[in-house]
Amino acid sequence: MGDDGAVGSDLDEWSTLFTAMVLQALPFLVLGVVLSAAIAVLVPVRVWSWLLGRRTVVAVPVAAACGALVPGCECTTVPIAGRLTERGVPFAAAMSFALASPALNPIVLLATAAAFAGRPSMVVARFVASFLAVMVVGTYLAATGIQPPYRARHHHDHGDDAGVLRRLLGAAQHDFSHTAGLVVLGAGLAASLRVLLPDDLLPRLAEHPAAAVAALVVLAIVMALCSESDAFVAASFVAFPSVAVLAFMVVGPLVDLRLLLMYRASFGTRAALAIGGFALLGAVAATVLVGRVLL
Amino acid sequence: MNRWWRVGTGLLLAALGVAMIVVAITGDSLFYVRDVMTLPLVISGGFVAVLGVATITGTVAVEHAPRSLAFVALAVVFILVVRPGPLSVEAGITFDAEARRVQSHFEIPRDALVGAGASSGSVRDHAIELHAGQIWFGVQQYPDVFDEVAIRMIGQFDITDEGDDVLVRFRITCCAADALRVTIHLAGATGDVQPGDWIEVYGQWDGDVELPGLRVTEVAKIDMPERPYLTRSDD
Repeated sequence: MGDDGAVGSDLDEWSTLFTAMVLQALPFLVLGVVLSAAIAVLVPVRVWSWLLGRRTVVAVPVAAACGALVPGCECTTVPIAGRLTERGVPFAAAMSFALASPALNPIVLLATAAAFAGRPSMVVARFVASFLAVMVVGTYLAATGIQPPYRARHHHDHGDDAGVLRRLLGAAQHDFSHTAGLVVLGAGLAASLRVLLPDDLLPRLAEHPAAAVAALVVLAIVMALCSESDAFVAASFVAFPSVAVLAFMVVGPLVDLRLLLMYRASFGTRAALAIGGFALLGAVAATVLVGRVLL
Repeated sequence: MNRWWRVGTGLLLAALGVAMIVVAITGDSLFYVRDVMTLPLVISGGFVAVLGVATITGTVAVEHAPRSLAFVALAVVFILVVRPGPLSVEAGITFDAEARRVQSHFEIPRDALVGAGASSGSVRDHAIELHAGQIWFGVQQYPDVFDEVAIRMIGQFDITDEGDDVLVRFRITCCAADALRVTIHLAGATGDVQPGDWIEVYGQWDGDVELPGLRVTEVAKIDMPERPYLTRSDD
């Protein structure tokens, strides 16, 4: 960024990345708030109690397994987790579902297989490490009993006396207006850090195993990629050790700049820090462990 | 929520919804996301616009809107007013896809071949990426297959730090944020084209130049294609 031309180029790149991340996220966010509104308005509380029960110790792995079967984008599952919690699902279970869906779903695994053609161990390693990381977060939330401050916030006047459509719109409007701005902010931060990151930094860090893992973990947090695309970017890091590449794919769907802001908007600062912190710790630990065994 | 706050919130949501629809139907969304996102952008934009109108008219009652919603205005400005172009070859942090694309199996994309011995189909954008790894391997292993076969490709011209002429195209999986830079080296005269120019290149595969290479026979400047990025569906 030494001259005006480079600055202009950086601004152009920032504008394109920012707009791209916003436009990619918004349709999935809308899908998420529509589904979460439907959960809030159409599905009786007793259904969730019947599906997942109140026993968190069982609900966490069940929810994680359910999430792994449902292809969901991060922007979709966070609002859904909020509504599930509001409807009585244990927070730890709701978050296990929300984290597992984008990290473990079949489309993500197929994309990983395509990106790492001829290396099935990378697909297995991604699945196992991501599942372990989700379980770390779910278990921590279950053990500590952290709850988002929902019930105080969500009782406003789209009550049962309004029509179903109005209640759906009201719930969707609430969730969208509480999340959209932070998705935009997260995209702006991610684009800024992408542009400011020195071009020659990554190749230098690739030479040292610990630094390589740390570098790609930071990059995953900064880039805020969709989980269905991150494997293709990860596969381009040919100079990096496999465990660092795996860390990039395991960390990204669980914790990135955009997600941290969404967690805070949906669950409050305390829960967001707990989720983000333990997702990061769990993902890195699981990656190193699984990487040593499988890669 | 007081009236003005409610109207402001509604207008912001309606503007965002309109922006999502406009960027999709004008085709500008192809600068940022895949073409398969066009319909979802229109539908979800319509839904957001409805939310905005419902908020303005008071159809939905909303207790309060967070201040963070103001960032949505920034998105609207960039989508409708700034309207940034697609990634250019000057983009700083991009990831190079060519090193991993050398495969032990290759297949000639028939519609990338024109001229002697080639099929008569039109050229598809995906050719540049398939050739980037697979054809190079083929050139090394089966040079006779590629003798006298003419190739036509479309991309942006660029010059590497080492001074090599290259043809560049970005491939996206979801959006421009995950763009991978696909590069083909060009051997031979490229005329007066400048870095960033969109060009159409005719040539033949050359196993002697750096991976992967095209011996250029003809270069022409063209307008930017309607769809500037390659996507996974092009593979």
